[in-house]
Amino acid sequence: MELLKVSNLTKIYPKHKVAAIDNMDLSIDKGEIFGLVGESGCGKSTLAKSILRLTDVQRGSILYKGDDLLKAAARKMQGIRKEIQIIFQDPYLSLDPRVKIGSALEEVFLIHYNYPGPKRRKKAAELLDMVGLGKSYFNRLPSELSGGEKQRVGIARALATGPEFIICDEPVSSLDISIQAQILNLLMDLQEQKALTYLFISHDLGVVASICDRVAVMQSGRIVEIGLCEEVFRNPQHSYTKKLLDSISLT
Amino acid sequence: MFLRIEGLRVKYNDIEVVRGVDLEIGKGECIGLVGESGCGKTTVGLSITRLIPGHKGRISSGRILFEGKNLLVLSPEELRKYRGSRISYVFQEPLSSLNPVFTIHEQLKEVLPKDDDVEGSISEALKSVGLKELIDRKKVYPHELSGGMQQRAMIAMAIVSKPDLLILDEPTTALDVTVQKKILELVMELKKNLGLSILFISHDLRTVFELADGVGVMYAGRIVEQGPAKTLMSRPGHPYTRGLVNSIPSIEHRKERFNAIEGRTPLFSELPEGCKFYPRCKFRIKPCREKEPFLGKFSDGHYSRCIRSKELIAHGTIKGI
Amino acid sequence: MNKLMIFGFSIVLFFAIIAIFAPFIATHDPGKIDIENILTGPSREHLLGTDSLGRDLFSRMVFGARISLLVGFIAVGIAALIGITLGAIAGYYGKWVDIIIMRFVDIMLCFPTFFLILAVIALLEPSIINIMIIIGVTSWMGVARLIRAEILSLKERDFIYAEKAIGASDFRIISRHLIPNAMAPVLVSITLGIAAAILVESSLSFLGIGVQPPTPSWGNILSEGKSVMGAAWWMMLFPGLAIFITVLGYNLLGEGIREKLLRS
Repeated sequence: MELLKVSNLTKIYPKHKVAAIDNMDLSIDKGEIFGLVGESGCGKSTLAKSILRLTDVQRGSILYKGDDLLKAAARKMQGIRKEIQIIFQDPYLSLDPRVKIGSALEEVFLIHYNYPGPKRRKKAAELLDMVGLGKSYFNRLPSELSGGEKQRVGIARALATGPEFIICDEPVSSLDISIQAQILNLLMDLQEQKALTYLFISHDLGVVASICDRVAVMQSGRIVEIGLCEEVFRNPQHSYTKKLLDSISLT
Repeated sequence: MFLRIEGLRVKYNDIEVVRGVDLEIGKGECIGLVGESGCGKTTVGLSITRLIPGHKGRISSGRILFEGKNLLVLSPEELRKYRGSRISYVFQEPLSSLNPVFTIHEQLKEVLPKDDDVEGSISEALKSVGLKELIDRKKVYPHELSGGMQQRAMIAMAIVSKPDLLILDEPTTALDVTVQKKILELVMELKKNLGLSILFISHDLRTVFELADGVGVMYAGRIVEQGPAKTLMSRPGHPYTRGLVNSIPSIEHRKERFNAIEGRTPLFSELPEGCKFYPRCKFRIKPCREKEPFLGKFSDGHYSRCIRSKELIAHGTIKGI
Repeated sequence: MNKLMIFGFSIVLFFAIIAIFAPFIATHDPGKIDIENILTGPSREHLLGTDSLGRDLFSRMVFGARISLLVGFIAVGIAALIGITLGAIAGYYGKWVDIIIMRFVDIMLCFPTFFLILAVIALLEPSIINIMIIIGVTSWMGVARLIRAEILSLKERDFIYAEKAIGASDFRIISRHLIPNAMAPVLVSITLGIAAAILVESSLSFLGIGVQPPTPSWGNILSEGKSVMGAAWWMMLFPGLAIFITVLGYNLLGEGIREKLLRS
């Protein structure tokens, strides 16, 4: 079943007059982990921000369960935000440095459900548990956490509204390799338990191969190749995909 | 031995972050130093050129012998004869290590002594890093170059004085993968053509294992395992190395959980007693908690700091352990 | 905390305590006229002497501290409220909202503030409340600019995108996440602003269009002292010193905070 369908999407940055996304088509099925790879500036993060309406686009449509997100009214969008969430690349930057972990999680329940204090705290504690952090993290500030722990908080926050679709924007690329493996494990477990759909954005082909079902390769705002991970990585068709694969091994 | 680090200890604000490191680099050899952020690997690199920020850190003991001469006791003037000319350093962020108000040419010139054939050396350096087009374009500023070209310019600056030792500290982390490959190929070419010795500091195990002749794995301020890359990859003797190797994502992976190392790296101010990896180790036994093991030798050039190394080496890296 | 900052803070605290506990510290009723003791010099009975109506100068100074500091605080409070609100709105919404607000700031900055205050006071009645409002309304522009600049860079940070992604309202993002993170430089500006406001109040009162007698403020005590300068030196020295030391205290504190923030 098709969950997200992007058609003819075009985003041009007026200052540079370059298309960050150039007439892009893409569809993601419910329950799959869809990988999007490409190098910096290829437009993959812009796509993520467009889906969440964090940036404006010039043309095209983004259908989520048949509704066009780009045309959705503010109230409707507020409802859709519960279903679409994002995990950012750098957990150092994606948490408000002045807000304690517990409050950051409670905030989501306040905004969307207006739960009373005790219920908010209970829900927030459940989330911390879900991502493998204990209650002791409740009163800590982001600066007291390691990178991996912060990313777990980022994941907990994304899960708070019970979303179906999560955009993972380079979620492990700023983490050390052993922590990276922990977070990828956590993401895979959560996807299985909650039947989530991921749009997994990364520049690391190894990471994408390890977790994704399908993959699209992006270059200068266009998708140049798309297919099952196994096929794309074993038998790449486009020259750019070949070049990317080639750059992994040095010998 | 060309470069030999003996018992190096470094303190930052009275907390020891390098806790006794021994390392040797032979002439024309590339030695990798890997580990995760905060393990002390960069501090080891900075110690060689004594670039540790003086207000915070200091080398508390140890020797760094460069062709038999202890760099740590040299006077500032003597040290300057080594820095830049015989030992060069390439940092992670090319743009922040190049001075934005000077042209690439001016910055290359600055590294060289006045009496040399300056223009000749510059042309040669630019040619060997693949920036031939800059030889005649003398008015090019750093911001006019792409990230990859900036890093090439940095390497040109590092080799223009024909050093013997090149220290690369995460030289490609800030670059795109396709550019990374080109830079690494360039480094290996230079090593071969100029007979450079290289200390390659990185968190990227995949790259280090492919490039380096020998690898040291650091954890909590010490080398926990050292040996030829191939051995460390296939038969690691330390549980930490083993965990790292199991965590490397590769395109051969197919949607399976990683055999990851649990927990987080300890802070230097809260290091556990005994083996520093004990709290996260899957192979821990009771004695591990009591005494930190020494770096034992297991085969030619293969050392590991674990009391169960023998068993682990015999096992090899089998999935599921 | 460095030494100068502690020194500044001590001064600020010292005068704040005097102002708060004025009724307990004052030795006499500040308004009580005593014809028999006109312009007597400092003595055991009248610590700082008496004025031309025989009122106890020490007690008047103590109550004057209340007025002067109150004017300083409230005026700067008003300025901060206006500056933070307008600056945050301009920075967050950008585009035409930003253009309109910032041009307004530019226009406000073009007026010579002190003469603007003089003109407005000439039209209105020179009461304490009017003085506080007028100083506040003419001194918020610096705060607005600071907040706007901070928010321009903060709003592009990932944690603000993260707030938007979880559906936080603009009001919540601005008030809970942007302003608290942008407050550091504003704090310095506010501290220095209090010193400036105290000076403005003193100047206005000295010119006779500020706080009106018989209510004592350091400025109007100084003004009264001017006419008896030759006969009673204490009438100008003590209020002058009080103003000087207080302003110095706030300035040192502000500089100290700035330095601390720069270092962290």
